[in-house]
Formats: sequence, C-alpha cells, structure tokens
Amino acid sequence: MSNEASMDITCQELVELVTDYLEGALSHEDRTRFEQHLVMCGGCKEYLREMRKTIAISRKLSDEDLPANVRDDLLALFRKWKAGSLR
Amino acid sequence: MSAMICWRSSESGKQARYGEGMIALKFLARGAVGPFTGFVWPSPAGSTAGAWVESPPERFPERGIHACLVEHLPYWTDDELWEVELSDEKILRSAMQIVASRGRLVERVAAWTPRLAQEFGQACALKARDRAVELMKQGTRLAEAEQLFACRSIAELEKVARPMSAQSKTDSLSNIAGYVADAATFARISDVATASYIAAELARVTSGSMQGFLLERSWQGRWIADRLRLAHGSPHVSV
Repeated sequence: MSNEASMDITCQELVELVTDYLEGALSHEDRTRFEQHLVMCGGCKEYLREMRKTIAISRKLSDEDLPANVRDDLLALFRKWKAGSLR
Repeated sequence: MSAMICWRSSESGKQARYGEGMIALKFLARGAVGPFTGFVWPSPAGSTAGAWVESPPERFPERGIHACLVEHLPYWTDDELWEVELSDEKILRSAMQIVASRGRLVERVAAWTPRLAQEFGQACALKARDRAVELMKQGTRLAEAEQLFACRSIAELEKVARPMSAQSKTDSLSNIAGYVADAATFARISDVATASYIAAELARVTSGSMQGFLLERSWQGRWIADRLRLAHGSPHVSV
C-alpha cells in the first residue's frame, strides 16, 4: 500500500515523463505519482496545460500552413541535427 | 485487484437517481472539469445523472475513470466534490484511488465549499503544530512548545514557527518547526492539498516510517468524512 505514496517525483522528472503521460503509456502507479505531483505543483499543472494546448494547435496545422522558406529552413536544420553538426 | 466496496451518502431520498453501479466520490476543478485532463464532465440535470463517460477498454486502467473512497479524499482535494456512479464489474482499487472504465456524475456534494476546504487545511496545519509541540516538549524546548501551542490563528502560527525553523539547519526540532510554518503558509493561502501533504510528511519524518504518513492521511480522510457527514459508520465504507 505504501508504494505509491512513498515515491514522490520532482518537477524535472515530471517534464521527462510528460510525453508518456499524455500518450497514456505510464503504468497506473506511475500515473498516480505523476498526478499527485500535479495536485501540489501549480507550475507543472500549467506546463501540462500548455503541452496539451500546443499538441491541439499542432494537430490543426498542415503542410500548407507553413511558408515554403520556413519549411526549407526547418528541413535544413533537421538535416544538420541528424548529421550531428548541430548540437 | 477488484473491490466490491460501496459508498452511499447518509442522506436518504436521493436513491432514485442512482443506478446499480458503485457510488464513489470525485474531486473536480471548478465547472466539473477534470483537473489534469481539462475534460468537462457532463453535469447532472435536475434529478437525472450526467451522461456516462467511458474510457477505451484497451487503455484500462491507465486511462480509466478515477474516483475516491473516503480514505482517498485527502490526496485529491480540489474545488468541487461530486458523487460519481461507476459501472464496472472490475474496479481497481489502489492506495490513493479507485479506477473503473465507466462513470457518470450523480450529484455535487454541496457541503464541500471553499470555506470547508480552508478549514481542512487549517486543521491539518494545527495537527502538525500539535505534533511539533509534543516533540519540542520531549526535546526540552518547552518555551518554544508553549509559544507554538499559544497560537490562536494560522497566520500567527506561521509567524511564530518560521523564525524557529531558521535557527539551525541541522537541528531536527528546527526542521520540524519548518514543516509547521510551511503547513501554516499553505493553509493560509488555501492551498489545502499542499498543507495536508506537508502535515502527512511531518508525520512520516517524525515517525520514521511511511506508516506515519498513511495514518495521518487516514485521519485527514476521517476529518473530511465527519465534516461532510459521509456515512462512514456504514459497513460499506472503509475509512
């Protein structure tokens, strides 16, 4: 019974887990710990809200919403990053 | 783990709106909004319960309908408290909550008000104060124990405990005074979730085991149940 209550997570750990949380990939116990942190941390609650908002906005975007020069710049950056020249 | 535990309000005359499911409790943010998901729960209309909300079976229990028995309440305090009906043959029960795949709001628990929430936070801070007073007496810090005990308000408790906590970073009694000051601070600003957590943490630290934390949370659950007049005398309810 004490497992859930005894393992608090930090703000940094929450940030690392947020994608898994949003994808429903956390175990029941980890999800409980995650949400217990949110109950007491207004900053992380706001962070989660912003993440949800960002995902919702991103879903509405299509290729056409991006100006060609911005798309080219982004692709160039991704290629550099993949090649390891951008850190 | 499945549970066949029922919770029913001690008030009679409301049974007509309930179905055959298990009745539990659920904290929500203002406007019947899920505090983490932002999901707006369908509210009851008159004597008709809200629409059923279902989670995908393949995502159970990670994305189930989460709710509380009385003993779970202090972990999840929020703006609104609702009775929720859970319809499920398998209901997962864990230390802090129960989870079902289907649920609906039945009725708001009107007795859970901002004022009662504030009183709950204050009760937790005062319980932390009483624990600190006992330890200070045992540690021959009688004058400080009396100062803490004489506090007549949460603001005064915060004002008195805070300087005690600053006396020495390595002294355990100063550290305990720090917990009391923090609990009082969060109670004063009505962050009752944090105030109650700090009180439970103080119990863990001073008892030297997680059992202290859990016992304090149980006391907090009983406090809420008593003030909301929940039927914790019922054989169906586990507090």
